[in-house]
Amino acid sequence: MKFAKKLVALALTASLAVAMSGCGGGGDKKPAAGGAKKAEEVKWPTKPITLVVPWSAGGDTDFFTRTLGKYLTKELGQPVNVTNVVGGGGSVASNKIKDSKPDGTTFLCFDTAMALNHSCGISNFGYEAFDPVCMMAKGTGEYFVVRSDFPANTLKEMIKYTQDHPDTVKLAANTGATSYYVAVRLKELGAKFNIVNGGSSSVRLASLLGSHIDASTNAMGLLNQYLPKTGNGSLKILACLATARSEAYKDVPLAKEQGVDVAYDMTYNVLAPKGTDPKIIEKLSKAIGKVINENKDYAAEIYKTYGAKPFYQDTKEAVATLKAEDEQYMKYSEVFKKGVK
Amino acid sequence: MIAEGMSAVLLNPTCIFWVFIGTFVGIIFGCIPGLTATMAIAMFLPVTYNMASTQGISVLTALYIGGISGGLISAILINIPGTPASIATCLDGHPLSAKGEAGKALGVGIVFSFLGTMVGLLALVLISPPLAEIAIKFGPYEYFSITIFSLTLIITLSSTNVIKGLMTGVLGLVFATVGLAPIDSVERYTFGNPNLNSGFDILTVLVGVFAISEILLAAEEARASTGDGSTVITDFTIKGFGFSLAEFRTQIFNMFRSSAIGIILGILPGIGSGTSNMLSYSVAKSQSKYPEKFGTGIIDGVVASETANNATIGGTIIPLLTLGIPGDSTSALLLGALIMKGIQPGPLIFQQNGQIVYAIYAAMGLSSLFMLFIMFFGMRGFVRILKIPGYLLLPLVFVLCTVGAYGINNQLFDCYALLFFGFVGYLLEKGKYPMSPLILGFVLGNIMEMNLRQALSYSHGDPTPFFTRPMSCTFLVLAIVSLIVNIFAVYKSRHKKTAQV
Repeated sequence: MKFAKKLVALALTASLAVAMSGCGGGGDKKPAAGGAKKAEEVKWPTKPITLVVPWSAGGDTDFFTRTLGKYLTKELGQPVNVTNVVGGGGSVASNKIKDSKPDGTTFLCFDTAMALNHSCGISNFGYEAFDPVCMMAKGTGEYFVVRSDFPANTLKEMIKYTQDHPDTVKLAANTGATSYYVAVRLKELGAKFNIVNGGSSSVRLASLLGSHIDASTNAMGLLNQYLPKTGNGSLKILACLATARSEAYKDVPLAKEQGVDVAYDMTYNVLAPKGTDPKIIEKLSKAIGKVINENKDYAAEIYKTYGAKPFYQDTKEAVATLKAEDEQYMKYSEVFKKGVK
Repeated sequence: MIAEGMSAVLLNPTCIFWVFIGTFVGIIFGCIPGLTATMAIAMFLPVTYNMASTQGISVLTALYIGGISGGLISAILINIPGTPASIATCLDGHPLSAKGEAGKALGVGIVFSFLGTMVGLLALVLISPPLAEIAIKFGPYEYFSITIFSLTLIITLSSTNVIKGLMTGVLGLVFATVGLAPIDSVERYTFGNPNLNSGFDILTVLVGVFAISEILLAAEEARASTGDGSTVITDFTIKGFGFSLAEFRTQIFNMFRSSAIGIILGILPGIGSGTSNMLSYSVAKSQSKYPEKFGTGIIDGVVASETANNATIGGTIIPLLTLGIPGDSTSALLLGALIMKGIQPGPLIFQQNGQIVYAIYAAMGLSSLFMLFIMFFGMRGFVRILKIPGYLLLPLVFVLCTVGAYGINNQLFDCYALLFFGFVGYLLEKGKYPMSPLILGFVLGNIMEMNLRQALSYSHGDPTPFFTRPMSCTFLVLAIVSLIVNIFAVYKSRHKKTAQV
């Protein structure tokens, strides 16, 4: 009897050990092939790497990060895992990575929203709290979307409409996101929207369809399926809010071209906790650059889903871009913090 | 296209193999409190990168189904729900087990989980376009009213002591406020600790309140008693699924009603199987001819809970595929996987990626069959878990729960939160406060507040649209009616008791 008990205890402990080892690694399911590379100055990576995305799975930042991570695994010879740490408009993740160990195992993959978070006061820091690694993607722009039966066909007409019917057109804007910036800029230009919270991008589109909101700012992606030429025609775009027309969607006029001065680009970055070994940063940046610039499968994937072209900027350029972005939005800091009532 | 999609799954031996593995692993993750289907999917995601789209998505779907179904095992056997979807299963499942009828409880749970998934799948296949239309019509007003209605059902969940139930329900709501507020991200109850910015994770609350408290109580009991540890003799010989055809017939209406509840809550993103199982249980109890028997160990409760949580799967997939809106964190990963494979959900998914849709249907059906199969054969083995002495089993569960808590975000903080809620749960149990309302309050708190604030921002602070919009008004009226009816019923039964005395 005693022996049987011991056996049971041993079996349970063994299964526990297995379970624990299984839970710890997370991404060790596929050991990377070809670990032997030529000797580099810095021995990194020696452990799996985690890329943290501040949004929940399914969005644009998540997509770019996961696609990059997939090819980066082969490039670096260590599993690259992507996890989503959600909340606070991205600030939960940025706070977490900011304070995490700079040992080259964890990186933050954020986007322009970081600068927005900074200027809205959601986080009291911007890119300077990190050691930027590189820029990994550039979006094809966000679009101003309404239902197809809305009595306005350009953004300029829309602004006029809101002036004639003040406070009746609900524009979705989320605190600390680019949509917030759009709302504030439009208000500056004289528009009189009823600015409301809209939820995530797919939720905003569904709300538009259900007539719960009347206007929204969205990236392409899902939007395609609702447009007249490429989809079921239930929604229409009034203007593209980027600084230049995207190659994939050439026919969409820019807000700038309509005389509405709202233009911004969505960029996606990779950041390391401050104090990370510069050699690690350099190696990671080069590896990412290699994937983005040379990997045809990567290019095909991002074009298929988002119409995006490979875009990469090395550390030095990235810092400059991030600085310019931060300055662009910090200009509105006071306005943002006051709120858009 | 239909044939193409379905045969890619059903006629492909590798795919069938992977669906089996997925279901099996899903069940394991589902039945161990502390490990969730979300973790399983997150772990498998990189493996699916190199698979064909249909195969990869099928595995993930199988994990999802296995994960939701597996929760009933631990709920029934050790009174700890494996996932939030099986909380209500504990309420009648464990008493059945304590009575020596674990086999029956398991059998009922398994069969009706299967049936629930199938009804959900049927709805998905046959009526997803109209259901998606309904989902679009739900705005923040309607969401708020539905959550209020769900919260009033707390009364039924805790009819032994309504006041205490309301108190724990409100406590759940309070715990839900911890973190950054929705919309304006104001810090609430974070005490400057950034770990609390995203609030408590449902896992730490659920597992803490149910599992850790259960372990603490068992430990207390073990010390107090002289260690005779005599439990009711469980009949380990189970015939078939452990229950009779006659019993099955009595539950058919229950099954359809619970499936309907599950599907409807599934199509509303944000409200998923965590809520549908409790709602279904409450409705079954209020509409039953013998409501006082609920909680003592009758199969009706298990049927209501397990059918609903599995039917929700089918419901959740509808907005996931047609609107690109994931209903919970698990389906959010599924969405990510779909997008990674170049499949953009949306109204055109049937035209653009029809085979994947049908492959998902086929995978769901196949996975449910495997689930039934695996659990049927595993039943007799699971029941024997009851034979493992508590002092071996519960510490193991404790460790697994802690590992699971750490696995949420790779931080020890969640483990401390787990212990904190364990203590809270322990205190609640000692004071005879019901725990399910706490979870319901916690789960619904965020959704309710977010939608209330959104709705009020739409109407500039004016509350009339809540009552003038038809669907919103319906749910609010239902909430008030259910409140009155249930309080009256409680009052009446108490009067009866005192009259009898």
